Amino acid sequence: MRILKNIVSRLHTYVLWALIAAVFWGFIFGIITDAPAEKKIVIFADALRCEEKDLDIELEKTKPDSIRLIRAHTFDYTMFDEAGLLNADIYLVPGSRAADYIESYSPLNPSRLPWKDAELWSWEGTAYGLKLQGALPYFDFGAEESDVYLFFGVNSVHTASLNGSADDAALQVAYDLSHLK
Amino acid sequence: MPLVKKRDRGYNEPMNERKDIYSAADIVRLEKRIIRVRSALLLSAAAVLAFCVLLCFRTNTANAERMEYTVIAVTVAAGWLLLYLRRFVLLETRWELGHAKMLHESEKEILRGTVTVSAEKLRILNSIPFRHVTVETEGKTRRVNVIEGKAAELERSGKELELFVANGYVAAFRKI
Repeated sequence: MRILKNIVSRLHTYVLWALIAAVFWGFIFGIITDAPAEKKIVIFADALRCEEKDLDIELEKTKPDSIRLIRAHTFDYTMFDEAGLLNADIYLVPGSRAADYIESYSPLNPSRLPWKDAELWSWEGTAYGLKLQGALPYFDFGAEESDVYLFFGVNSVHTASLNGSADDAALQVAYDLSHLK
Repeated sequence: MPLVKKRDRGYNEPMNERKDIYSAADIVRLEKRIIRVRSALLLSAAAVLAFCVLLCFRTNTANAERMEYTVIAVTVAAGWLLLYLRRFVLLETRWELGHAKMLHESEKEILRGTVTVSAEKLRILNSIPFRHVTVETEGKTRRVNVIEGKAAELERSGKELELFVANGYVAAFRKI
């Protein structure tokens, strides 16, 4: 009885500990389980909704060996983590908002891309993106957005064909992404 | 030839010899217990943390959510258990040690008379439990206290006792 009374009288301590543990692991878990940029592909989708976990799992089935993690984020996520927006490897943006992130895109060299006859998105005479054909599963860009474009990040370390970085993992993942059923 | 009384501990002790509530050996025993308990709590906390970090390294995209909830649940449960043990084992022992040292170091007042130990167990906030002891001598009544763990021993020693009292607590006693 004394023990129960004591626990009740110190309930605030037990509740506070639960809050501290949740906040602590909220940060630390993400840090420990995260991978460095060299082993991770970040996808930014300017979509209303995205089934991020299912998409990550699906893409990780065919990921290159050098990649440990694939992480898809929507705009909501990047409000809390700007790096997810600025340092994404792959951008999926509706045509109406494509110009909003122009500084984040890497110029394309269409001849070195695995997509043939893709419709390009250009800005001031330079090709930056390509139009994706058909509906993309796992994403909801909104009913009024019919055209979705694919871009590669200017800071990506996985676009060797575009900027001479370490590997072409982002291109491979983007190709798999564009062919998801 | 002093009177002797058979003790539970298996040795004989003269009944009219002064008996300290806490001997120097008891203080050492309490100090060692605090070190042992504190070490056990720290090691347990480190083991829980290590287990959680291990779970983090076993995480993949498919089980990430479940692992995060597991890690939080393990940390919360282990933390509650350690808080409980800290309060009911470590702090109790620390308070008892403080009390024992106080009894040893303080100046003692000597009271002689008929001793009655109350049945009611009392506890001041953040302190050890104790019982009231009433000493009647030459028509005067004095009330002192004895730590709960030693009250039964005091009761067993008889009614007519000489008490050595430090700061209102019985520090030692002797049968008259």
